[in-house]
Amino acid sequence: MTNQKHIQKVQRFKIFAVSIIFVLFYGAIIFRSYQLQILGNAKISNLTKSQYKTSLVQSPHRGTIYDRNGEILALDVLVASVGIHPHKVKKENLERTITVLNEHTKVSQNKLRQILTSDKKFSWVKRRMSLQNSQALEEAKLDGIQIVNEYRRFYPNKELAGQLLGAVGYDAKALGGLELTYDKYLRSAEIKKKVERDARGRLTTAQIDEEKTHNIYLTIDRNIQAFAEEALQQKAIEHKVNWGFAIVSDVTTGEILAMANYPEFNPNAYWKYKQFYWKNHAAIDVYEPGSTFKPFLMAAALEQNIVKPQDRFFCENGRYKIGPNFVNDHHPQGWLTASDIMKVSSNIGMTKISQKVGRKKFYNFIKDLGFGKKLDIGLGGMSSGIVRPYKQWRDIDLSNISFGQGLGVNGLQMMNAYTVIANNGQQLKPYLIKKIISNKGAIALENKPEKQASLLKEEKAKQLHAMLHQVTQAGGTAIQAHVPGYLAAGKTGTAQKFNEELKTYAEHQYLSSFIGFAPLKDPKLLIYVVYDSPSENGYYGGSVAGPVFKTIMGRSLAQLGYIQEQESNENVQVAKQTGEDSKYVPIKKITNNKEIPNLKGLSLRRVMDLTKDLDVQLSITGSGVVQEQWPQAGEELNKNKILKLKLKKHS
Amino acid sequence: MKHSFFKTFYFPLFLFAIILAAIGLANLYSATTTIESQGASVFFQAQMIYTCIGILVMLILCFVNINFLYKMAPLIYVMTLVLLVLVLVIGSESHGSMSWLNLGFVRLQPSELAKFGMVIMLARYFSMLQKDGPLSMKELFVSSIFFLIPTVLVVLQNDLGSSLFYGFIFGSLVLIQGLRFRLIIVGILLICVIAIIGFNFFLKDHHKNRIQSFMEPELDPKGTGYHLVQSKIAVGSGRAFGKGYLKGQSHRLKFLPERHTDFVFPVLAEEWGFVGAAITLFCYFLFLISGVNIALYSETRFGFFLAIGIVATFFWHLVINLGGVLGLLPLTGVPLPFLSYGGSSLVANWMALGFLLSIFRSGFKRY
Repeated sequence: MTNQKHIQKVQRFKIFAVSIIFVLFYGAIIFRSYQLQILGNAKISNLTKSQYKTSLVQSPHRGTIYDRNGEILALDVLVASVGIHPHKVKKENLERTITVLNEHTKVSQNKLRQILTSDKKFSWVKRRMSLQNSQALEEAKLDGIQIVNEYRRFYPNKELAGQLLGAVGYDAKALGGLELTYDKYLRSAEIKKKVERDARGRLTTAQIDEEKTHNIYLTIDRNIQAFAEEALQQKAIEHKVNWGFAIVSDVTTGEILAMANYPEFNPNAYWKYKQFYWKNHAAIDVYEPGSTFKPFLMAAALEQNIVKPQDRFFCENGRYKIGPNFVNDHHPQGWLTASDIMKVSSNIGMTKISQKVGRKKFYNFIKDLGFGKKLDIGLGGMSSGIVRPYKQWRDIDLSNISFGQGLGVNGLQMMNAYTVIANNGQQLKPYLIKKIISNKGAIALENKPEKQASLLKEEKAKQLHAMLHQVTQAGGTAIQAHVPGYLAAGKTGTAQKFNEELKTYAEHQYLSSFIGFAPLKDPKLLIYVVYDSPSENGYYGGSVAGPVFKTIMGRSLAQLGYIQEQESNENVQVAKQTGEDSKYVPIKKITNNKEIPNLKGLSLRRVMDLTKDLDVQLSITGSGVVQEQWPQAGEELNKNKILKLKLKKHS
Repeated sequence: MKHSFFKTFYFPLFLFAIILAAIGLANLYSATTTIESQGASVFFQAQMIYTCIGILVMLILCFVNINFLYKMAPLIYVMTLVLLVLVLVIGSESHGSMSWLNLGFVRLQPSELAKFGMVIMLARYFSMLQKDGPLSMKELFVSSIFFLIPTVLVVLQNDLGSSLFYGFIFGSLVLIQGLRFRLIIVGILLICVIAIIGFNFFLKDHHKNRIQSFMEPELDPKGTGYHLVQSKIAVGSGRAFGKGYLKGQSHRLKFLPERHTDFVFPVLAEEWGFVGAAITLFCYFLFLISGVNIALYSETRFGFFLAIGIVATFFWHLVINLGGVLGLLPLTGVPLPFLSYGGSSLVANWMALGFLLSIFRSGFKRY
């Protein structure tokens, strides 16, 4: 047998030689490792950086817009967008991909084929589809398809307050309206995040930072907004108007409760509408207000004790020469009291009063009321209107301005100024945004009623109320504006439109309007209705805009819980009511169980408010406003103390 | 004279093998982790079981007398050849090669076992020569037959990596035995000619691509060069100290292909950096040195050649796998001993370890 020594001697050299090879190879591998890991390689490290990480853009999110009662006006809903990386789709899968995509996205096969055979690295196939469809698509597990969840703006009430709210396009970009004005609050910042992605391009589930958005509560009341839009549209169609708007505000607080525009605009399908339909006429348009401006001169005259309601003026039988110009009345009048001038809306009468008041006082008063100044109610894009300095006023200009021609105003300025009259001389800052609250609960902005200068003594304001009430009564210009069951006050306006091209007042183009408030005794709501160029079935402010005022006022007061003393009756003899404030009685809290008041027409909210301190059980059927009640008004509550109410939707 | 088991058991070899197996298991656990599947994968669980089976087989084999193995060598060799033939008849395909034998309860890769079958047979043949001088032409021819039969069978399976392997092991043993200088030159020329002809006529496209992409992987980093580029990215991004255990992005994000088998080393290099890679390579070095030590202290020529053959097998596995994943050599599908997933390979490795321990033990029989 061979022995160990032998092996050692003979094989040692070979072993040594082999060991050299061994060490050489080993050294090479270790060196290579060193080269790759320690020395590095720019190309490789660039690849490393780019392949594992990608920046993910977290699609921005928008806060919700609520009305004053927390009803949703605009919110984000999650939808899915489907895109494709054509180069990742294998040839053999092409047909299947087209079929499946067609099935779930409803994009035509031809279009899909076109996308899939293009050289583009990425194309959207369909954006903003329902999550249901996208999930079905995801389950099909096709290569090259990318499904991204994103938010889409949704307006559950469709056209409601469309122009006011504006619209939102792709990637949460605001396109107009409040969405744009408050974009910095509503829209969350676009967050770019580095996330890992795997070899198939799928992103790892990264922690998504909670985005910071704000929810906005408007002063708008969804129901009143709906009443306003409905009534506005009905008459707009009847009279074939060009455009129109209606604004409703609460004169006790300055809150804007509704801002309706015609023609309507549905922000859910904003791309179907031309620019004209987006316009919020109520806030943006500047126009000559016409006779609705007259009460301001009257207010100035009363306040400064220049005129008393019973002062008489000669109205020149309809034609009054001022320098080379003439001022005309539609209905020629002789001697009229100041009250009657207002009631019949005599231009000549107003001219006479303006001459008594004088340029400077009149000018200062309307400036105090906010005309010719930018009014910030929390809505962008408003103009200050046009009021020329009084020193430039010729005699005819003073006359024109006294009945609302020769100056430019916007709807909200009118609301602002009428609030002073309606609120017994107290000016209140109008506002549209109640509060802005971050999604974490912090209040970013909150508006409260803000009293400003007192411009009229209460006594003078009441005198003006009485005058304006007459307008809605027999012999007034707006008996159509009489609100059944309530006493209202207001003023019509039928302004000739100035034609920019012809540089003259157009013969048959009018701006027909009505502005008024109710209840007369303790005004709550102010409503302004304006129509541009009614072309059929009449054009007088009283007959075109008056009925709209009536409808909105009646329904809104009922909604707010202002009850009518008598059953609503369309055939109330208007002539018999001569200004006593007898019809309106604000409901008192029910303090004893003995007599149940008339709850008809009240909202449930209001009923609950009235009965909350009471030992009474409500039994309610239906929804909307109270239509019937048991026990009846004036009856006593029965022993089991159950008050049965049957509610019904108002319309 | 009887010796206690502990005295006759060569602990260093076993110790380094255990360390490598432990590193391998820990690394496999990480390599089979992705962002979607965490925790012990089926691969990891199977590898655990194979490790236990392997150690058991090793313990049994180290009690087998080396002379018995000498006698049984032809039978073992023929049995592995039969398995290789069986693969060709009833084998199943995986990754472009027919190298799997489905036994119902387990899938066997006979080419892994056949390596050691060939090593045992060649060790027996060279030990029978009873000379240390260069091989004669006749002896070279006879030994070549023992090498060519399994090689051809493996080539027929389309398992290029393993077939190259047989050549390296055979070459190593022939060089240890001794060869005339002329023949070495002729051999080298012959290999060159075969390589050129083979590349042009016999290699399939996926083999050619591998070789071309080895030259310049960055030319097509998403296609043929993908494997190598990803491997380099994984290794390179590990830097000096690595990204930390279970934190490698190459496997977690599934960029690295074959990360549990051929590309298991880049996972380790990425997570443990150059330091971890060097420590692991050092363990391999110590493991191989222990093997060479056994060869040097072998009592018999058969034991010497067997030990050298086994060490050479491990060594070439290391070189070809690591050279491949580091871009020094063309990529061939060769597992990294103890680290790559694979039952047949792992059990075969532990078997080989059993043989080495048996060789060591046989040295004590005399005294």
